[in-house]
Amino acid sequence: MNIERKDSIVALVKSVSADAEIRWTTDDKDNDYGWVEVPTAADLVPMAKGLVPLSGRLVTITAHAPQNPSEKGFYEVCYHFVVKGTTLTLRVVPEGTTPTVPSITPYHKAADWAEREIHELYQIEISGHPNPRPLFLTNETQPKAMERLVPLSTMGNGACTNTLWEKIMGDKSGEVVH
Amino acid sequence: MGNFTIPVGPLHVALEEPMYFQVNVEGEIVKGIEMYAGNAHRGMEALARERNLFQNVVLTERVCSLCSNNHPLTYCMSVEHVAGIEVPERALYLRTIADEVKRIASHMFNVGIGIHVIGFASLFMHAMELREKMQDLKETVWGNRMDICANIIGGAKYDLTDDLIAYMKQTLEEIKKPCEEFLHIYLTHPQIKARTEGIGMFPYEQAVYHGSVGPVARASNLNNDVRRETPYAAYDRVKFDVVTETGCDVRSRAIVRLREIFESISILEQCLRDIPAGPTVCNPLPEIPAGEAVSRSEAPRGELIYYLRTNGTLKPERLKWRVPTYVNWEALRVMLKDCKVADIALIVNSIDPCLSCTER
Repeated sequence: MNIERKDSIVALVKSVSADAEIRWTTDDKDNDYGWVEVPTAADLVPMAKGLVPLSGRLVTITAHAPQNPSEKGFYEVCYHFVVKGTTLTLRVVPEGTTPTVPSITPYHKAADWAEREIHELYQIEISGHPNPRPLFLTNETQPKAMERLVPLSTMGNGACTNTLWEKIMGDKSGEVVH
Repeated sequence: MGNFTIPVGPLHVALEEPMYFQVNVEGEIVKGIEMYAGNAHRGMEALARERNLFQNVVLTERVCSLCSNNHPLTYCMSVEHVAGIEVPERALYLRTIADEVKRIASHMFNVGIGIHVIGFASLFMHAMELREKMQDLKETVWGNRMDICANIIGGAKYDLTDDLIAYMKQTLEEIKKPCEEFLHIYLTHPQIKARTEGIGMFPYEQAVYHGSVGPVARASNLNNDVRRETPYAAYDRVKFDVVTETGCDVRSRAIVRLREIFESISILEQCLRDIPAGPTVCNPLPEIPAGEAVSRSEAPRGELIYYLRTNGTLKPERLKWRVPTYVNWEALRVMLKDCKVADIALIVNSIDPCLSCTER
């Protein structure tokens, strides 16, 4: 384990929030993995910003529905960084009336697409994103698409064929077919 | 001089996969682009939650055919990390061998397509002929040309006999000289130089800012090879150089890939020489407990990362992956700025883009 690198990460996290919980794991090659519970969404930006001078690089962002959700039932958001070979995950629960996290794209360009993706697939608002355009879906598609996915087996079992066909014909002719 | 918006894609002769670019041009000079993804989205992360941990080895192999060994490998590493599974020594070497064979074939394919785009038909066919050697090798050793099913949770799904090891060594010996000749032509041919040098510039500072990975980053002198940075499989037991270039252009990205082929051959030779005897899989496997893990590997296009969370059941609570192309797309805004329309396809190809990976 690289003690110096680990210490610099701990110092950064604690300088932003003394309440942040940090734990460490290693794999069979002695690679280090840090896991941080970030107390508030507001702490995320200074931590992400502080990782830049440590050569921290955002790798990806995961939105996740935890087994034991928060009071509001919001998804968790995990920000995965790599700091010179040490993997660091910052876990944040979105805040606000609708789930919202601040954008870290100004400091980590790699967050651009990842933030847009979690917005359109999980309806998590990203405040301050420089280019909040949908990534995969068209503007007409309602958000939270991943959670509303209709399994192919349900589509294929014939149960919804009439409904689907009537909708298509209704849309085409401009009137609802009965 | 007029301003126009040119649509490129989603289906286009020079694009291997569907991506839609809106290119704003002033005369024949590109002034800006907008990218629209979503044509190959299959909802694979949602599918992964509906399958058990073992079925997901098969699912992840189908994310992409060119990186099809790295996906199940990295996924298996994340499960092994959660459960504390110790992979046998022989399996670590077997995994490395499968990884490097796929890398040679993938790199040769990308460089070949780049040469095809600039209209050098004979050298393109030469590249495909060399790649075909690797395809034949895969078919002989694993029984398939793309999805080779080399990995399993806790080890490797295949084994090598002495005959197969001898065959692989012979094949590697056979491709060395043609690969050297190929690199020599690439480095010296005036047509290739004229079309690739100084094209699609992506400076080091931009590579750092974008968090770029793989040959795209290394061609801008940014060294972040996961095999060296965070060793896995048998990469801590073999000697190899991380190839970097300073040209920051289309040419450098191809040269990085071509030079990496020689490193892959060297890694393969070391593995085939040093592979220890013993079991190829951890048996019996322990229960997979509740937990979470991040694992990374160096796919042909760059760093691949998997995040797995388990809850003690056989189905993963969350499985997320990010492929190298995903972070390299935004680099195109920098590379395509002020280039000529004729170079668009060449520059897009130089990041070795993969849509099926990007959209999952």
